[in-house]
Amino acid sequence: MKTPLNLPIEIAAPSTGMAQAVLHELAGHLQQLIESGKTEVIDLTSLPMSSSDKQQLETQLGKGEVDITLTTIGESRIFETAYSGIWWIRHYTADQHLIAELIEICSVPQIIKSHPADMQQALSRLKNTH
Amino acid sequence: MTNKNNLLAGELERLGISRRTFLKFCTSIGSVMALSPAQAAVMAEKLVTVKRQSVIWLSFQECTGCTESITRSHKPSLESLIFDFVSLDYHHTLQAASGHAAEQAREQAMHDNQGKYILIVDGSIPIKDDGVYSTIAGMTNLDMLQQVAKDAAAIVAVGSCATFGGLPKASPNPTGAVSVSDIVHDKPIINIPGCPPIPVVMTGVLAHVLTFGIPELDSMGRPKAFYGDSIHDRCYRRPYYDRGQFAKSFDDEGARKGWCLYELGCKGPITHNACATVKWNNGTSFPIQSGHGCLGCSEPDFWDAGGFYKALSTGTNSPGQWATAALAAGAAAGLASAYLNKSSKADAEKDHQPVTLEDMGGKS
Repeated sequence: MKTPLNLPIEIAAPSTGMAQAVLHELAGHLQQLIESGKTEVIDLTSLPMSSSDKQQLETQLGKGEVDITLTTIGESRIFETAYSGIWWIRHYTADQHLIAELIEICSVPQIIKSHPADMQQALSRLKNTH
Repeated sequence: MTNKNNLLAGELERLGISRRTFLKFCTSIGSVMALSPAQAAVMAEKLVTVKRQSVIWLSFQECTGCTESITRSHKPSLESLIFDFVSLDYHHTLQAASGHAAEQAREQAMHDNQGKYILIVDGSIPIKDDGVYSTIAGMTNLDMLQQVAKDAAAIVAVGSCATFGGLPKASPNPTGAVSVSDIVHDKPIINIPGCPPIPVVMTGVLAHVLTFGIPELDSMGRPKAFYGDSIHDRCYRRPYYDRGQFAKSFDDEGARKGWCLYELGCKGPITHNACATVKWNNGTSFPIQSGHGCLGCSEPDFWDAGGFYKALSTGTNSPGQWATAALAAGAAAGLASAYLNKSSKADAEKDHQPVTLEDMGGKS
């Protein structure tokens, strides 16, 4: 690979206050989850957040007890934040490009659960091996 | 009658793709389509139960950039999965067959799936002099479009040429180029403009058509999910615009600090597309992030809109739609419009000059 040109350009990422706004929204969703069991997802990809906004949010939410890596086509990295019930999800392609970044407010993110169709297929595979 | 192997569920199994992977695919598609995550899960469940959709792709007066874009998505690509799920029965650039065999494949697909196939068109259609300026297998583009559109379930016009006429239509439009919707009036047409369109926008629309049907469209026939916001609405440099911090030339201090490129001709405020969130080259960047204003390539007549480096509010020869939008943007700009309204005619003329290497190298 060629050495990238070393241009004296620094694109400063401004902090816009979006992190605070998302935190406020998260509190509402978490309360809803506790009271009615309704799960919610915030799609970070579609919010106009700068990289420093995102960093700020991630720092403030911190890391909790669970850290999961899915090895689908490309990895997915999922961790519970220091706030129980608030999960940070990053989906990557096989060549490590981030294609979706979400915060899911739930007890277990949906994608972690085994799908009935996959289980059915697993069962027939198991039966064939015996 | 319905063989499981004809369904996407069978295709997933054949490819060894778990439902979890598939849900991830639908989540990423749903994310760019602004579907709620619950809808993404519904999409995942629905998509596996649909039959492989017959697709006929016609390329008319175009540069093949749209096909390049869609075939250059991530590899191995979640988005490219959608192409394992459709039966692309005719695409004269991609298919192995040529000549009579190719045209026969098209006719066969039209016959077998009468009234059910999706027609994708890229490129404009020249209609001057009976359409002689572009022909395929001896048939004019105009004739072929009319013939294939007749029995299509829906038409997807891909790229600015098929949606609005694009570059072939640029003044003086020597071939009389027109868009698909100028010719076909009796079929649902989904417009996906862009030069080229973002790959995932094309695949996302296809996924939507297969599961939920035709997505909600705006007055120009564009899916609202991708074209509902302007580049400006979702631009990470927007805070600078709101604060009135603008780069005044390429490589001045403002440019280096990543300030707003509005005064350098950025068309972000009047351009509706998803570049600012979905980005390009596997999510690496988009023009504004690379330090260049948006050209507005997904808007009608962008090529003739009066100069890529002219600030919107200085436009004099813009088409009416652009000028109006520019006025609105200028009014909102506050500081920006105050500055630009005072700028001299000499400045406006300067903005017409092509950018030279010296300009890029940093003038005082």
